Amino acid sequence: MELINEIEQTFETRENIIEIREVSHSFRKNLLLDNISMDFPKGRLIMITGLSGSGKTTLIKIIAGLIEPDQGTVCIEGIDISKIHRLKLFELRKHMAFMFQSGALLNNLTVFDNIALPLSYHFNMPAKEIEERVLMALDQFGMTGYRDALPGHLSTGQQKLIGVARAFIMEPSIMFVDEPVGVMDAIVRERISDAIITMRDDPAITIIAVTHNIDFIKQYADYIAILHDKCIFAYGKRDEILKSRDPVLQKIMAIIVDETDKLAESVLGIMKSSEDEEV
Amino acid sequence: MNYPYLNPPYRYQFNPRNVRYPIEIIDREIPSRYNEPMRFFEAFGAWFLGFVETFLDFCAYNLLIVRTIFGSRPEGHRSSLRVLFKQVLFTGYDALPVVAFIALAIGAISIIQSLTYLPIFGAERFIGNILVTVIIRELGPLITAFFVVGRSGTAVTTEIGNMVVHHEIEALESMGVDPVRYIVLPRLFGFTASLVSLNIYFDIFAILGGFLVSKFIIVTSLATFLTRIMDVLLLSDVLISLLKGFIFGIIIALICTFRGFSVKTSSTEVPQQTTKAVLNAISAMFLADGIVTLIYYL
Repeated sequence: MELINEIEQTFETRENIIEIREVSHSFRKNLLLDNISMDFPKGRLIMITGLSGSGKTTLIKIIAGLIEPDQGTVCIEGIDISKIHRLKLFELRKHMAFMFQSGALLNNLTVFDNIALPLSYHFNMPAKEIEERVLMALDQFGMTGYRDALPGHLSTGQQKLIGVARAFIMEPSIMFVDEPVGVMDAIVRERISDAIITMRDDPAITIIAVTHNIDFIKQYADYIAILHDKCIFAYGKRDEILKSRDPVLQKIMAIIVDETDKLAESVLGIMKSSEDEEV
Repeated sequence: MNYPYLNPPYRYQFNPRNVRYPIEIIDREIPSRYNEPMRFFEAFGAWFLGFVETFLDFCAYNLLIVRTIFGSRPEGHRSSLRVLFKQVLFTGYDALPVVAFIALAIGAISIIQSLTYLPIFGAERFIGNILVTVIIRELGPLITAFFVVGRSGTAVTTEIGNMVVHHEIEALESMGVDPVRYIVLPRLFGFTASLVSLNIYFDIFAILGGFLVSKFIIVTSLATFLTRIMDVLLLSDVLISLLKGFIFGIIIALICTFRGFSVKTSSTEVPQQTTKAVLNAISAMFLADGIVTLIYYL
């Protein structure tokens, strides 16, 4: 109980919710991140972007404590997560949620059980209350009809929506989002964007998102961080970054836009060819 | 020119007309047969280091499980209990028909073999002893454990391996759900409870199988047959059988879950780790069986 109180108190007092210092990480002897230091202000939507393979997902997983960095420290609310006991880390994670690129649903559980899992695991809540909250979340994302479906029966976009619903149901203080609006249909994209915007408006919630989608960044980001050449190349308020005349920064942004367009084009091409085949 | 110590790909480099050959052979790595003893030691060293590393990882894994069992975190009981019931249902209840069939067959075969040879030595009266020693004390726990490794152990390794590959374990961690508490402990308790229960079940059906055969061959009544068995059956025999089931359950659960978590990134690792899980579990079970039997007779 003392531990829970300590964590809950710290969540109310600090200005920077996350501070990372001199973080470096390699994968199979390839350096992915080199000496990265950043502060994440509380209650903001911070978007990390960069070219494909620049280590964005690795960085967000390190910040969330899902990957241990080779070097450096990650402090969440002043608590160095590499030094705390794993049970304390699990306690801390009750205040965080991670939305995975693929949804990462548990394949042997139904949609309902997937969303209910964090509630039934952490809180001694009556089954009726859990059911009400899960049904509300399903309704919010237009997935009510799928409560008894297994993840394998859902499309990628639907799986992602369920992943978002599962992340949202915990009412987290920190939300980590990996590619929230990747290549998916407009309805799913809109529902996910709406949910993220609703959370962004809540000053108690900090959202750290990794995305390629430059339109999404332009519209919603409070802060933008650009990951390039294993380092944070630029980090600042949205307008500062977008209006910067730094030629290298502009070039990187142009490549990111190009990558997004090409990706969208290739997917549209695939969709079109499959439609032609059907005809 | 004949260079027997060289592998075929290197031979053509030694054409005397090739003027560059002395330089090339210096630049190249030393021909393989020169290295054979060194390569053997290198391979052995790599295997040994890998073995030690895996063993230490396994010890750390077990320590983590013990700490989680005796840790004071009160959360997750309800979710974990659901997983436990599912595991007992799959490992124990669903296995009942096949275990009954195997047990009947083993009981019958043991008695047929015994009745073929025992009369030669005038030792038919030892049928009860054979059933108790061979089936209740030795074959019962081992065959049940083999069956559980093949059926449920492989399923658990595959399931956990696939969960790692599909980031489901990361998803659990990100929600603050302890994978040890949610995945490993229900399997550990489920396997142990199922194996002990299946062991008793196996013994009953094996004795029944033995009785059915004896009834046809030496025309004995169930009461006489059971009396013979009860005469030789000691409480220690039953306890040792249950103890073995308990130990085998722990071994299978620990090794199979450990191997599942050893999958790193690729789905091709899943069958590899599953094979290792089966081999490791069977080896560990034989070792444990030997130790328990040795202690029993000492």
